[in-house]
Amino acid sequence: MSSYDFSPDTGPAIAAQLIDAGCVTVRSDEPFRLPSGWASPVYMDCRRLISFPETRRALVAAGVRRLDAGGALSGLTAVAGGESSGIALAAWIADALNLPLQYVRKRGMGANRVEGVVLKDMKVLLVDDMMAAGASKAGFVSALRARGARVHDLFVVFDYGILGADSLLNSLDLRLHALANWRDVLAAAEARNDFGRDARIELAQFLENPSAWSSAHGGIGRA
Amino acid sequence: MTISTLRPLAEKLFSDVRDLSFDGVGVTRESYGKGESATADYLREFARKQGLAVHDDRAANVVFSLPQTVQAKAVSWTGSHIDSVPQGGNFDGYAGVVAGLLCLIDQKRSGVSYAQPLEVVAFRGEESAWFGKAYMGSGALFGKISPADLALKQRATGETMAEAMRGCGADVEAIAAQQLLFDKARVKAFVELHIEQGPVMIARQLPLAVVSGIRGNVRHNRIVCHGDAQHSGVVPRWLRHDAMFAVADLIMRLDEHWRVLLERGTDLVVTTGIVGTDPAEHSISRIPGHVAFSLEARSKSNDTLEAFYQLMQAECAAIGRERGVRFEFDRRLLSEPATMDPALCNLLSQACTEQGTTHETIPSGAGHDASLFANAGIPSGMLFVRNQNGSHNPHEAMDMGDFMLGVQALNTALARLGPAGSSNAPA
Repeated sequence: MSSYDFSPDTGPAIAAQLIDAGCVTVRSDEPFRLPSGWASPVYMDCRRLISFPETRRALVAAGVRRLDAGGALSGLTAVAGGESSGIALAAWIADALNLPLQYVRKRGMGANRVEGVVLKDMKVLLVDDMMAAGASKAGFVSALRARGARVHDLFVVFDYGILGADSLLNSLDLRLHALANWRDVLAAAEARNDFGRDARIELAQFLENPSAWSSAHGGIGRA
Repeated sequence: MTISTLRPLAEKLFSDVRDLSFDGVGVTRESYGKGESATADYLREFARKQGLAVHDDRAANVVFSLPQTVQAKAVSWTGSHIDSVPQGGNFDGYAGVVAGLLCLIDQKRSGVSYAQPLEVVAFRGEESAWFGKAYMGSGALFGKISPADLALKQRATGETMAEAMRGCGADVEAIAAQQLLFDKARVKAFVELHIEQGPVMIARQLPLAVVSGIRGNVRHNRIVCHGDAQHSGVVPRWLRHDAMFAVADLIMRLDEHWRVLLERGTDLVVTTGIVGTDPAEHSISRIPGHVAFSLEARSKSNDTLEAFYQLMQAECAAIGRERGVRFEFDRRLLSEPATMDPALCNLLSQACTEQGTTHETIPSGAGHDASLFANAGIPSGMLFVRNQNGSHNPHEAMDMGDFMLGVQALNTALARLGPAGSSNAPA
């Protein structure tokens, strides 16, 4: 057990669990390159979480509390996971809420992009493990809406929180419920002395001005 | 007098060679061919008029020096290549040759020469576009051109590399025997000025950059996927062996691997620049029986190149099993990544700083002759000059002001090389 002193559902506490599950990698020699073109000194691999039963149960419970507090559960009729790492998480949340489950493919397969039963006017919660620039979330939402679902809430364990996804979510009329972001990871790492000082400075510089850091390392920046 | 006063001469060198190799769209200077030889002829004539010594080496590269240093026992080399891709830009390669010539002319006119004499090399055959093989001129000097390479054919004329080299006066027998064609011990340093061919310096507003290392690459010029050619209307999906679908499947699988490798912090770029069904037999109503394509991966890391290559082989085997096709590979070509000499990098950075030019150290995504020198153990350095619109296209745009800053920094750095450390006045 780590010795940080955060209340259980706060961002830094969740971030500490992600660090403990080995989801966070920090390097300074060669940047990580996201599919959207961003370069970053840190990499988040939430796919690992499914292999840690206690952590995943804690995250699902914290997620349900967060969604409830955010008003996302009222009138909810289904939970949809984004392919591929959102599916298991969505299944556990759907199970906790005793609601139907669906999943949305990254690309359509034949005529179908949404699997499972979707009824017209269902209020669906979209679930994924994490969000970077948000491009794939936009695709998932439009696929669900094309099937007649009402989607107004998105849940992720981890949100980059710096790549300008908020304006995209606004334009999609989507509310984000996230358990942690990179600032929380930095706060947890500072409190627990994780990754070494140089790596934390690199992360702090990236968070200070992600656009400058990315373009200085051969990635895209904001125009 | 400073070297920057030579700008009008530089402008003339660029415009004259552009004119003689203009193809209506961009410039075309075929490796060991017409446009390249015309450029070599022009430069020899120019150098003689300027009072420089000039000779062709055994690989038909053109070497320039001050007349009094022809016999020097220890020299620095600078230069770059004078060939271009088809419909290419005027500055790719040629800028490094012009920069070197200006350094010689400045010494000639001022009467103050470097402690360690300078030779400028105009390499032939750096571009792989013509024979499917890069670094032919510099590679030949190091004995790295094999008889199999010499049998490669020029994309347009069908002439073999051996024939083309012989036509330019190269010693093809010595090249085929893979002899070392120059006195390697005599060359103490190789410094190449080149335009940047990527977008980084424009984005970061850097007129100059010092190159830390050069990406290597692994290539197949031609992979053929063999399937089963049949009538397109009668064969159900489960009985098809469609070579085109198989190649598309391979490319998409490689794209997924590439995306994941990048996310996990690997340096890699992947390209399939040539793809085609055979025009002699292809048809709208025929399931393609054969598809030929090229494949190239570049990285700063040899391990990454090897790992990606193994993934590619594994996917070809898997697709072969799943789709009932067969992939046939031509020779695997490897150009190793290279690291630039830290002392030369420092010298170039220092020269930039002293003249007040903003600069940074960046890696080179494109390959350069300098990588052969570095991998042969000759201390090597590179200086990049900012360039808009990328390269290997007619829209390269190098600002002459930036170029002259690069020439100035190159001149400063080269003048400091050698044991004595200071410039010598002529006797």
